[in-house]
Amino acid sequence: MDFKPKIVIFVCNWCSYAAADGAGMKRAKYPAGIKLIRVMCSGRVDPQFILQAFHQGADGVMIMGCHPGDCHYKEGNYKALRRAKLLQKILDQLGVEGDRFKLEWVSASEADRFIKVVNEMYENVQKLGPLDYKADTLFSSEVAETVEQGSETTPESVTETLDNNETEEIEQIL
Amino acid sequence: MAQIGAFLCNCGENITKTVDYEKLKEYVSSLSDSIKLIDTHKLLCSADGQKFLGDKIKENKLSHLLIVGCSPKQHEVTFQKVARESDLNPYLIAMVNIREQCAYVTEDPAEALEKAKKMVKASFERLLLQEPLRKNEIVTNPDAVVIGAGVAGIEAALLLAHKNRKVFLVEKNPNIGGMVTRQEELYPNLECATCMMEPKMDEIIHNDNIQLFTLSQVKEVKGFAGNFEVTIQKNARYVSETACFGCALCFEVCPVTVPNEYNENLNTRKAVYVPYQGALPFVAAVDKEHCLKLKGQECNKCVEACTLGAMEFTQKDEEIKINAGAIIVATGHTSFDKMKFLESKLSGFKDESGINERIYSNFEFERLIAQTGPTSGEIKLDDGSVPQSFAIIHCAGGRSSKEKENELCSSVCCMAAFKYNKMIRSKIETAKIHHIYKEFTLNTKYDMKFFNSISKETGLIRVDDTEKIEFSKKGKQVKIKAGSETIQADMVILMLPLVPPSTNKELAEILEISEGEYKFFKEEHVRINPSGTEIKGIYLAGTAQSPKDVAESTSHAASAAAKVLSVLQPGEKMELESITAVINEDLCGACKVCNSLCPYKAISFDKEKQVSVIEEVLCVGCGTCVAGCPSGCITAKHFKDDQILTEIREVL
Ligand code: FES
Repeated sequence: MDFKPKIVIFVCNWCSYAAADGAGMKRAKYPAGIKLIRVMCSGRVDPQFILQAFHQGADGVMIMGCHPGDCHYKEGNYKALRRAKLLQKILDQLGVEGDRFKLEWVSASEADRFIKVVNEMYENVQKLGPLDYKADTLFSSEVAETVEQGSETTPESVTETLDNNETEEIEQIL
Repeated sequence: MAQIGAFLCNCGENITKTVDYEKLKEYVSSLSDSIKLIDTHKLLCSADGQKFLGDKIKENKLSHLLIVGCSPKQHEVTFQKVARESDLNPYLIAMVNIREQCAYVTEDPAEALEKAKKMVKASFERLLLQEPLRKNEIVTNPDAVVIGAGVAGIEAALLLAHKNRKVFLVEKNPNIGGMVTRQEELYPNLECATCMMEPKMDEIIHNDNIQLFTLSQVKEVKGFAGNFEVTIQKNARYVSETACFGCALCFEVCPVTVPNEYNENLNTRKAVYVPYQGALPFVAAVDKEHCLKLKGQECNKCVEACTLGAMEFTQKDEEIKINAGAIIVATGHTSFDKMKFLESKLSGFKDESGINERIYSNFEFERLIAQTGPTSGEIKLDDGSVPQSFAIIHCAGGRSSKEKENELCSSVCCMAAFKYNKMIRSKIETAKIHHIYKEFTLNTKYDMKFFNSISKETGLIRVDDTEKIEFSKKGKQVKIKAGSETIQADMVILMLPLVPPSTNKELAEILEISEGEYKFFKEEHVRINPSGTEIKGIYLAGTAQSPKDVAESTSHAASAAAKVLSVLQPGEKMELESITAVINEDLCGACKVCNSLCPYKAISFDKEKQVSVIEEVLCVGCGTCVAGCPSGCITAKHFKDDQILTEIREVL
């Protein structure tokens, strides 16, 4: 397959960034199209970052954080999870397939898991082909609005927009 | 204009084996005029490399550093230190991790070079947007809040106060002393409990380093080890602590009589009261729930009776904020409900009062034999007669085979039961005493000897399962069917387990520590740190952690106090996070979303200004409020939106 996807991964400083370092130390290989951006916590990832990444040409975007219960800042990853669920809905409406946006928990010691997760992501996006990002044609008014509404929600109101399965999934993790 | 120095570290050959540094250097030089200097070094983190870097910064008066090499997790601190020493702000450094994220993980050198270029560009553009930050320091607070003024809390408070630490001792009851002062004598030497406690309690009242808050509870805790802000709710006593000396004139006239919980409801007290003679502080308190005046009714009797003008019905509940470096949780245990054990094991008893006449819990019996108790220490039944036969049931309610939550052994009740045996016999020489038990716990070096010293006249009945014991009413006596034996007794004493207070759940949430197994607070490590918790700066003392006897509680408390003394040194400075969040008050929409988002309770709402405010010493810079702010008015220092968005743009 010739298509080489561009993928941005937001990694939290404490777990996932360290896992990526571990993968490097092991000399494990992953495609050059995968680029990492460090944030202090997955909870820092503003939904607009994800939309911007797609807008700037990413074919896939991932947020990586500490496992539930392990966040360096207690609960940032739970916030990330809730925001991700809502964002997924917006992305659906923009025609961004589910596999293009992922949230994964990778701990500092899980270099192997890091490799597995990023390579899987890469393959999945490769199968989907280049992203035709509809928002670019809708941009900016509508999307901008959606984004704003997205972040205007409290965790509670986000939960309200989710269906039962999703709520259950969150509850389980929490 | 920025004077940027770009340094490419070969990292031995680790990077250059894959990434062509000549080409990368060329690329870097094409980036911008603001790059004043490009240099390579074979190992920039080495002593030689650091000196090289420091010299270059100074020679070229560099303002920013772009360091291409390894992971910031490895050497960001190293280079920040060099920068600081060379007068370059440590937050004006960008490290491009092309070792772990590019050279090591990319197969094809051409692709690696392209990726490295993108990474360098992204970091360079981000660097231009980075801002100098200053290092914040505070002096750690060496003082402590101790919650609970029972034997453990008192011990911890005194040890700290003796070392000149300020102690804020928070007690929910009107008086201190906890469960131990409810006992008459303590095993193994049958020492008088109040005599042992009294000097310590007295010192608590008089030590200038200790500030005692009675009728108080911890409501909120913010901050972290060395820097806690604790909100204490102090409920009104309605009696002046300085004017009253417990003369009892007010109790005599108070028209309200309620059960005295301090005596396990075996007798009554008034709505203004001191729970027992000698309680400390020896100051009356008004029971808010029952006082007629406080319920709005016409009554002024106590006020009129008090010759000292000590009644203060104008007092209000208050919230007090305290700063402390550590918190010791010494909230102890409480008594088990005897009806929970008895239900379904009884027949022939008409109602609870019929049961109470004959069947006592260990907690009740403790009060019955106490000189400060309802009968002034005389063992008497309800009708005033002196019981002649006793059945002491071990493991009643504890060691349960049915209920998981009650399966644990409290480890102190067996010895307490043998203590009762001795105390009964010292008062009623001819008493017939039976112990009905499943197993005995005799675990200290004194216990076996104590057990052996019990009169040979004692009857021991072993049963397989305490749950199967049955009690029925037989005239004035209780008939007890225990396994294959049946005995009769004038008085039954149930050795009930020590259980955690129901308030542990709320306190665990406030302190963010865990209720552990059986709902006693969870220690950090059961063997090597039994007085620590998973939250740094919060410690456990006494039965708050697990059932203990007085000796164990005291040593546990000493261990908690020792940790505070060793960890918090007066005058020591603590570095605070520089990467914090800031609110632009002009843009804040007052929605308060961030207030609930902050896991560190660092954000509150300023009602006057109608904006949310961040308490910088509490902010740790996670950035979750920044991502959640609907008006975009919060900035994460060093991880600002424009910095990250630039990185996204350039890396793609
Ligand atoms: S620090 Fe890793 S997710 Fe919060």
